[in-house]
Amino acid sequence: MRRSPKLTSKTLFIFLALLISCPGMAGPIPTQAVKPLMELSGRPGDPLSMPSDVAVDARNIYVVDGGNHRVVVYDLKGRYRFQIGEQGEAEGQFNSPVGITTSDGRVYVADTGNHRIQVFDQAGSFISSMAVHDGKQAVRPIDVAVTRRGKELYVSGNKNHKIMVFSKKGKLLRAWGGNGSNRGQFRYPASAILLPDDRLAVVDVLNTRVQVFYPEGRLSVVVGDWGVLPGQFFRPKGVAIDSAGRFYVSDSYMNMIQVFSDTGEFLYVLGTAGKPRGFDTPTGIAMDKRDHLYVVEMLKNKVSVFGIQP
Amino acid sequence: MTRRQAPSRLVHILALLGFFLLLVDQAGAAPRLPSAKRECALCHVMWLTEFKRDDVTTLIPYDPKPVVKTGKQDVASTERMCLSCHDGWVLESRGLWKNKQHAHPVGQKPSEDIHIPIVEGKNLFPLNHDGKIYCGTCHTAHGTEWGNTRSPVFMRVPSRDGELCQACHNEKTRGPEAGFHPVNKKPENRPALFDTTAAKLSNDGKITCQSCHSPHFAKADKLLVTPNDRSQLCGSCHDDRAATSMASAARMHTHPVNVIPDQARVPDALKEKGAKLAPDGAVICQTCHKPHEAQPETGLLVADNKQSALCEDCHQKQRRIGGGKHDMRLVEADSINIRKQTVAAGGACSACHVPHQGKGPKMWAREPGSSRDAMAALCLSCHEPDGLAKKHQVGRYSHPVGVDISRLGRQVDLPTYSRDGLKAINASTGLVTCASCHDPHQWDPAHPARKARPGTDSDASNSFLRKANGPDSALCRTCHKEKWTVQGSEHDLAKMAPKSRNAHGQTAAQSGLCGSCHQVHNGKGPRMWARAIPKGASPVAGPCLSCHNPDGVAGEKLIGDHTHPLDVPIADLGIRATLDKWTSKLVALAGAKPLLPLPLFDRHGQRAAQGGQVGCGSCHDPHRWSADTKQAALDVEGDASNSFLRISEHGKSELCVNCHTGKAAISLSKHGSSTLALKKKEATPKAAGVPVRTTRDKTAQDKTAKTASGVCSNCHQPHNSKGAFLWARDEGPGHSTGQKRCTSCHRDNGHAKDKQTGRYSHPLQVKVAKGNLPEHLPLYNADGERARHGGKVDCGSCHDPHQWQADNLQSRSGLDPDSEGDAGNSFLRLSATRGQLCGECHKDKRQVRATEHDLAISAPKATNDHAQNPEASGLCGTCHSIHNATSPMRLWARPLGEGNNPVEQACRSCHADNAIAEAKIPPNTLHPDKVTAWSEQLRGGLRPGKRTPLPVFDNKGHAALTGVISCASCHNPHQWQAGTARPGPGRNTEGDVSTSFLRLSRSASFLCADCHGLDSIYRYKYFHGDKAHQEHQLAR
Repeated sequence: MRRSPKLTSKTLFIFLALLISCPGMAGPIPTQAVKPLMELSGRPGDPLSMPSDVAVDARNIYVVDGGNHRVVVYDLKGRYRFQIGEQGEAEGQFNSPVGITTSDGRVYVADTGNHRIQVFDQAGSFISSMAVHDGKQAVRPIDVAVTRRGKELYVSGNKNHKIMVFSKKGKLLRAWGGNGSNRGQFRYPASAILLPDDRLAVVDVLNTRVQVFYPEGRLSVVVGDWGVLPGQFFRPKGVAIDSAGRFYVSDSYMNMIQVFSDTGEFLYVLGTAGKPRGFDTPTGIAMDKRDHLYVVEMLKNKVSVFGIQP
Repeated sequence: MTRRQAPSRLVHILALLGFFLLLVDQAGAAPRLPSAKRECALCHVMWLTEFKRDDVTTLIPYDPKPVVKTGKQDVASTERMCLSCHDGWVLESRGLWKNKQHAHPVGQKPSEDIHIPIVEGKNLFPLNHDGKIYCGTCHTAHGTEWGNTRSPVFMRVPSRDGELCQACHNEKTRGPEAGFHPVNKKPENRPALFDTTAAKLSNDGKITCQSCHSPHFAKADKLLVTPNDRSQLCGSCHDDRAATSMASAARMHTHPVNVIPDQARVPDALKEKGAKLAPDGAVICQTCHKPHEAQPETGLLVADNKQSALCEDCHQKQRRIGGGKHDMRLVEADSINIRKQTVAAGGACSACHVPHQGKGPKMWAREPGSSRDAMAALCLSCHEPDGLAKKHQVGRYSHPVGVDISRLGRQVDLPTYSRDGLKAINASTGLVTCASCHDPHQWDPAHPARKARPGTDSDASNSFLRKANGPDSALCRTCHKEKWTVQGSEHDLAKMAPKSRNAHGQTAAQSGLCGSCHQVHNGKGPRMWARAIPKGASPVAGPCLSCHNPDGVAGEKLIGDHTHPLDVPIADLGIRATLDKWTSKLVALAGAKPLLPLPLFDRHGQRAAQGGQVGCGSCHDPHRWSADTKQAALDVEGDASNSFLRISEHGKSELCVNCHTGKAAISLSKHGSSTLALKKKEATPKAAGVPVRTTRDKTAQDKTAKTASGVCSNCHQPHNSKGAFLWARDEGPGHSTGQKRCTSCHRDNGHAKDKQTGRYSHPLQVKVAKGNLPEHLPLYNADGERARHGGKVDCGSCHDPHQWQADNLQSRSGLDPDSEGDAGNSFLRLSATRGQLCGECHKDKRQVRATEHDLAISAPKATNDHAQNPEASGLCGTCHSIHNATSPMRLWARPLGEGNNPVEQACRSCHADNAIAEAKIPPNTLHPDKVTAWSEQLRGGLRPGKRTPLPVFDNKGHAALTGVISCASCHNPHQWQAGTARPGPGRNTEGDVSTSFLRLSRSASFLCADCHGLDSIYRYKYFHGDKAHQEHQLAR
């Protein structure tokens, strides 16, 4: 006769740990307060219009002002400097751009409506343009991440639901994903950022998760899930990573930013006064080297900047 | 089971529960295929079961029907839910949010005009819980069946042709008959609007509501796809009517839009009916038209235009046309315009104007008449021979139209127009046309309200003129102000011939000063001439001759039989002429002023724009007595400084040389006035006792004691001259008319008595053989005129009396009356230094050049009878004196030598001891001079085929039929080598039997053989052989 297992303290610990690890839980939502630093909202008489993404380098803050088909550039103190482009199809012009990133002093803009990535220097001068395609088919790029020295460009494709990797000269090197809900597949890949270890984090909007890949396309980690509980997403859009390796993921419907560990475990929600901080349609987010978090609030037509606790 | 087992069972249950929960948790973390339930919850978030659990805290509260801006409604159809995907990251619809100010209204209850269709008791287009329009009223994420057409934006019903719009806004589809813009009609072409804005055509290319309106991507109020406050939207399709400036309106023959009216005013009453203006008050399409709820069956007009009522609402000044001669309702009520509309039906305006698609400027509603001037063509619609107003047609000799007013260089207070018929903003530019003088809408300029019913007499105070044109000719003077200098002059007929009447039977007092000579329409000739023109008169002189004829009012001022020619193309004088500029390569004098452009005329007597012919008006400005002053003179005898001349004389014949530019060099020569003046001083009748009279002395003009002192007038007189070349002096003796002109001065006791031609001189009135006709020298007919064909030699053949040195218009040499000329000047038409002049006619003598008979080579220091060396005398002049020769024998210019006949004497003038050709002296014994031979002509008659050009000579040295054999029988002194008509070798050369100036190189054909047979060769050698003749006694 088999002996029944004894209820030991060890067993109880495991049970409680399992219970805690469940996404649903009663009680207050864990939050971490952030410190508002500044807001960027265009110039008087020339406001931002439906901005979508933001990027920061050592000199500037770049805001994709999609409704105005331009990129607005601020210095690190939030003072307006200049704008790049206007609506059009010519070099240096944009048509409903969405995503942006910086690398090695260059600015890469996903010129979504023109099916291309445009590259500028920090002064806003046009450098080059690269058509986005999946074979012969032009693809609307949503966001772009760039390896060091711009050697490879990772582009999230809107209608083909793929991550496409291009060489510096615009040659399609490889691609992965495709429309679906399985691991490694996408339903509308959106923000893409390159992690310090060269892995790529991609927001998978309608699959409501962030997938982290090795450079060759092999899946590393999945962050988040479908739902309305802490650690779950409804419309994730932006992703950023702080100096401690934590993932910050914005949700433009639930209007909050959740934070996960580098292994994908939910940690807390950015908050204020012990409650989740309500953003207004947060979409693209970015983190600078000082661990300042830049959050695009689309319907507010502004970018809010916060200091976070490392 | 023991009690100790109970805790164990509980542990198991808890463990299982925990494991289950773990599984649940792991299952939640694992990827899943999207379930139908999840797909619904992508929008219906409140359907998630987490909201019903008590054990969890959701990130957002459960609120299935939140109250949002548009009212209370399901969470799935809130703006926030839509944006969660349509924010560019998944689908790009940000424009909807950006463009909220021009989007279909939401959050409002439908107005009473909206009738939402009800199907099965429910609104086909639901409202939210507050009864307001919301996104879900038109859209649903659940899709509808569109057949083969893809649903663009999840519409509740298919809307291929705007059915969705029309379902609620159904009154807007009633069509133009009811006053609504048509839909479901294919446009003639596809405007760019449909590529550059949100405007759409239906699937089969027809106009729909969305062709003008866009529910989310509008750019202006009323959901218009593009603003229309400056006719942009209307004009994008109706581009043939979108004339957004007065200039384009004139070109497009349509009513202008987007212009602020300068005279027309849109009345408030019309605005109340829906007429709109641009923000700056400009007229736009919607000033007259409404796309919806316009007047039925009017072409979407804001108000009915029966009897041109709408036109007159704004164009109130033009109402004055009513009841007058131009009110076509009274004149020709049944006439139709280009729209086949009768005047009776369309109203007064419609007779001449249609708002769009006219036939000319001013939206012309009739077929334009035949005129190159667009505005005049409008008037000629009726005022031409077959027009409705043929009784008042505008004939050939009428005031010109299309003339650029900028020629006046000033602004006038009459309107001018562009070529397209656009009224010029600045009346210092633009073209004069009918409407410059006439206002077709107003009969009497002094009394705007006065009307003239058809049949009413007209005069210059009304007649739709913009200004009354009474005795002071005020209208004419508006533009032709500078012509008013005619007042008080001899051309002021009110003073000179007050009883004289023009072609209308009007005296100057009745017609006005201008009207005494000009008739604005239907004149009798060029310049709108108002007086009878003599029959057969040249069009360029006819108007002048209407008075300046023996029976005319200016019968005392005639021009005579010999007068300056008319109808001469100015190009014959080397002048390129335009209205504003004359240029000539023959401007003679350095520093001479640019040529003044004088009027020239075409063959009809009208002013020529380019080139043209000389007419009276070229030299005379009949409106101005003197070019130097505006002051008129009456009863004063004129001279060359006035007399209505366009350029006053100041001693240099400025008027003459303005055309005869090449003749201006005369003032630098002996023939110039200063020289003549000097001579005059010497030869005044008092001093010389000889009367020096010009023809001019005989005219009545000279009675005024005023002199015409110009250079030209010394010899020429433009009117009433004595003969050809308008000669103004008494002719001298001579054999030809030309010579007589020259001997006016070059005669005994003449001005040029020291420069006469002498007894033996170049013959005149000789014909030049056809093969020798000169290429560059003129020949003359018996009247002394230049002959166009043939002609004879006269003084003027070699001499150009206006230019001292050929090819040098600036040659000043010869100003000293006593200076001697030479072969390079002396008024010669061509230089004679190397025989160029003589060679023009004496072509067979040209080859003397560079032979030993060219003394410039063989004896350059030798002088002729006139002490001229070869350089001064010229090539031919070394042996021949053209004038003042001492011998008639070939006008020989050297002392004749000894000899048996004149020819030998001439040769021996050089070929003699101590003479320049002493080295070339033939034996003393030549051919026996008593032998008379036949000329080659006679011999040729007896021996056809044996013609030998060996002449024989009579006792005067002339070639004769029979005569003696002399030097020139065998020698041609002008040609070194027989049979080779070219210049000599250019150096002294010893000749041989083939050269040596022999006429023939073949001895067998020699004249010698005719008499001496074969013996002739021996005789030749005997006399001329290098050695034989020297050894012979005759040679010693």
